[in-house]
Amino acid sequence: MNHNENLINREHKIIEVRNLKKYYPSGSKTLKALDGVSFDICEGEIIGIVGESGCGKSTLGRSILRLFPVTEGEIIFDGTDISKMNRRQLKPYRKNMQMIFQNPYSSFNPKQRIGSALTEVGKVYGMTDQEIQKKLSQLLEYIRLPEDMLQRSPGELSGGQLQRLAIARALILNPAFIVADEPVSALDVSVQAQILNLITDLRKKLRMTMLFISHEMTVVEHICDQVAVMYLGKIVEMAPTKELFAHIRHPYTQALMSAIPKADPEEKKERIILEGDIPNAIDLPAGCSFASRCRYCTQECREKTPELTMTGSGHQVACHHPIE
Amino acid sequence: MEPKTENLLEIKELKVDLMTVRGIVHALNGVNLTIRPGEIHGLVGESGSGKSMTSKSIMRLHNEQRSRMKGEIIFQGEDLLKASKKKMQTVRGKEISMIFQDPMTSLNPLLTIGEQIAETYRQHEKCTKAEAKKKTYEILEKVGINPPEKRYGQYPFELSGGLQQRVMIAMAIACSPVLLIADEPTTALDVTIQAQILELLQHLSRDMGMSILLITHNFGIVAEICDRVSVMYAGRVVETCDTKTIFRHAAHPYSKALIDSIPKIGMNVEYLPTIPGAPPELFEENQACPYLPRCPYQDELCRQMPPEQVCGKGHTAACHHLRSGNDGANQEARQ
Repeated sequence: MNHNENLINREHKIIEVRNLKKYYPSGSKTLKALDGVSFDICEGEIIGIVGESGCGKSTLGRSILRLFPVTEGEIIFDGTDISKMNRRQLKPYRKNMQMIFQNPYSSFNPKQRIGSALTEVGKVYGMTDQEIQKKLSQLLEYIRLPEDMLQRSPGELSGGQLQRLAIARALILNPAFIVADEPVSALDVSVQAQILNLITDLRKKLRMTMLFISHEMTVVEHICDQVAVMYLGKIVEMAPTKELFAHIRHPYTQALMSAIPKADPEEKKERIILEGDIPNAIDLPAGCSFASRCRYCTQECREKTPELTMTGSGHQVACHHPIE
Repeated sequence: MEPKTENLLEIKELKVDLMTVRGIVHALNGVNLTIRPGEIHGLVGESGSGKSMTSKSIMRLHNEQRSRMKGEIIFQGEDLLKASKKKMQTVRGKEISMIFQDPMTSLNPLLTIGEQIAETYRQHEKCTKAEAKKKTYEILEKVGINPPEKRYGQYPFELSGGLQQRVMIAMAIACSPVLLIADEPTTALDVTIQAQILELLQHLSRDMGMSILLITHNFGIVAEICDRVSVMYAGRVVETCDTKTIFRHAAHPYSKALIDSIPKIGMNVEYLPTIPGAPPELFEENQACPYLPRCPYQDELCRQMPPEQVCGKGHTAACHHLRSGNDGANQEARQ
């Protein structure tokens, strides 16, 4: 939200994504997991990506980190295009980009003690033992866990504790950029609140730049400065958080918002229940990909794909009939 | 006091101990819960609070060698804990049925969905194959799986998560049970599909007069479709009331804190309220209030297990210090 404008350096872009595409062959057809995605992330900014399963949000996060080759487009990390680099060329950049995953239990080796799991990261990138120790004790203080955690194994810890440690592990190398892929989705609400507060805390202390992937609108609204809504491999709407939630313009975002069960029984709003499932991403028909489920759909929508266009106050929307 | 209503299900002081390699776990520690005919009753709480344990106890799905159950589960006038195995088999699926979180792991991948649903009719209603097939078409249509003739022959992997959950629901309501236990039925689904499934459940409950015990950790779902709600903590029900009351006048400090920690759109705060600490381990039988170490209102009194107290019309909570700050309504009710 807007508490953090002073933490963002608008002059310095850490990540610029330009027309990013990731296609997977599927028999004789192609699955377009990402189909022309573009946006920037400034230093100190948290960008939220929301959407339903299969919309390409995780593929986007992993593509930016170059965990696999991309089909087309540019990923500019701090001024350098890394989209076509090979393994060896990428190595110095890896250090600057880290990831936090959804399930803390599966992101630690159950047979490895926490301490060893955390120091390993530093060792791989040539930090001395002393440096690692210093960094670790600082991070443990930040995540408010005692030093003796390092002697434990993952099975002895709770999901919330492990997620804190996963965050600490991502921060050991002082990365310039972090991708958090559904970091609170596997946690209970009270623990979720603790982790969200920790992220708020850390971004102030360390000026973290982050791509925050989530399927939960409420979480994204709470923590992100800008939000992009994805549907079938494309960004359909993107705006500064406050602006987006004040003036929703894309019918899909509207439906997504109205589908969230609100924790308030007296706030009865008109609910838009979308018919059917998300269409198969293989072999999509021409035109707007949301047309088959959209209640404002016209002939134009079935024929012409709407482009993401700026409509003022930094609000971009890809729709022929945006909501006023 | 509220008028006496005939309860469909009444759980009284249910205790369940489980034998594990690390010792005995007191998973349920005196659960009291009533379900009225035709209502959707929400059961909320965090992981490990005993929600699923309670529902499994109603169906008697525990390994009987490794668990100990005490208390009563009165269903339509009969104590299910004392019922014979044979009796339980007719109760399960016919009078009480259950749906689970992950439809893919609950369906048999080797049978078509039609065959799986028809099996329920063959088992409980002793139908012939043709009758069962006809009834299956009807039920598929009822849960919105169209066209039934085509879907009957499809395998679970051919369906999306939302449709799979509809198949589970079809199977569960096939014999028109009076109680449906839905254990996190939408947790594995996307929000837009979740909205469809919730609407279907609500519609079925009204249409068939079926009660639903809806287990969830999501207060949003409770607000959407539940009539009443019970909050669980450390193997006990700490508060029961109607849905509106829990959001406006929660009496137990835990319920209040839990609701406050949910991020809401337009809240515009930097930090979310949290609950310090973590839920207790359930290896030792608790004498004190289990919420004591985390509670801001704790005092000497809390070293004794708080009894369940009536704090309003149809509103009970287990706490020595029922919140009285912002809930004048409750105070009036007590006087």
